[in-house]
Amino acid sequence: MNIAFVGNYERYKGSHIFEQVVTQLGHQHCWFIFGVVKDPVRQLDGIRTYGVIHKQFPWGGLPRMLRRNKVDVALLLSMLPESFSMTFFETISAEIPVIASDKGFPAFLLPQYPYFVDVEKGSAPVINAIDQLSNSQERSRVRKIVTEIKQERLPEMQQKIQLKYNRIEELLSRKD
Amino acid sequence: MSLKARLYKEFSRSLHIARMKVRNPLYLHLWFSDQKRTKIREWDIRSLDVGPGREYVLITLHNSYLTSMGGIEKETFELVRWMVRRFPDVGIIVYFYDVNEKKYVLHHVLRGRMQHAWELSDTADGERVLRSIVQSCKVKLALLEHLQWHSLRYIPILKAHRTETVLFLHDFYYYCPYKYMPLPSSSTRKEVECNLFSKDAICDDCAYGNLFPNIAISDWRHEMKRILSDKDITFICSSEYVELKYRELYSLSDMNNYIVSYPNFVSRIS
Repeated sequence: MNIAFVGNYERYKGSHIFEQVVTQLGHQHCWFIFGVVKDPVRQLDGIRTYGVIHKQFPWGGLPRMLRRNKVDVALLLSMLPESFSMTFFETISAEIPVIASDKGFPAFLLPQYPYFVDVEKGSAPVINAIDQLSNSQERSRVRKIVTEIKQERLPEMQQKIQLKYNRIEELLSRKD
Repeated sequence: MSLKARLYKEFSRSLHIARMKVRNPLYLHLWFSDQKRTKIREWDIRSLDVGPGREYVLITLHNSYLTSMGGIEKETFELVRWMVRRFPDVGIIVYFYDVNEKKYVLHHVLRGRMQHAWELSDTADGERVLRSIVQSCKVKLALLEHLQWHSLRYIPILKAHRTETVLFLHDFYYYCPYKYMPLPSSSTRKEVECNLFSKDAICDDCAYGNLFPNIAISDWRHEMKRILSDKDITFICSSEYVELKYRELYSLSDMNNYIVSYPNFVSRIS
């Protein structure tokens, strides 16, 4: 499978867990990192031997990058709770199965989604989820779930983007 | 950071900027104007106002909304773009801390044109700068996108000037600022772990706190609770999860002035 770590490659985003996963599964899969790596020379040193490919995407460019590189599974392993996680919804919009941390807004919004993992337990739950998704039938089942989320939840979520602009407009139009 | 890493970082940033410039004329204009910043001292802020009676919107931010690739910075640029289109006659002051240059910067935008791109001297104090801004022009609305590198004390200053205030709750900075600080040295980075929300019992006595003795977390939270309970401020949460967490963490009951409005993730996926 083609597996991509998406988002900023930092410890609090679970870079150390990704490192453990890559080290343990090695050449069984192709590995990518899509996002900002602050110090790639030092940070990617330990996993470079496994052929990890690092690419950076511009604002809005993640879905295209995931599709172009034929990514089968995306990893979002944030140790801290994500307040929104643009990256999660961008991955969903690309209709890619994602293994994500069970902390934060995505897990709060979509509790039924089957691939939220407890990253505090280290790499084991992530490796377990990757093993399950290695089965192509399971992968297409999850892809179907992701497509449903994209079609049913994202349009409804878009309506909430406008609310802040409405409020600002109301405050600016208020007479002194 | 090694030379190779620095070059790589600069290249990535340049690529991002180049892509934005091609796609967006407003971005292009603001970016070029920002390259020609004028160095000023605090008292020069008095010449910020370009016309008597003009209304202003003030936006505070923790990083450059033109060169950083973060989500909040993108949101801020979108906000400026929307303001320029919707309220062309309202002046926009973007007051941010340029993390790369380690300087406070003021942008004054009117009708889509940069009027001033000012860089403040090293001795500039965030609170004094804000006070000078509200004293020199009529700030009708303050949009506090983020207060990292700024101060919670901006809020009473704005209140004293009867400025409508909106505080964006994009993350959990207002619960624990430690996690957002650059650690004093790379050697300590390995030693501290933070499990925000999973081990609240040890939160008041966390390892991060020892690294930042200037910020007493109990005082910080006391002040934050007062701010978050203020009925005159509008709070915009980036998700229901953020709203719920702040409600739990600060035992907030009446939250009629809280709005959940998602970041503009659509423009990122179109």
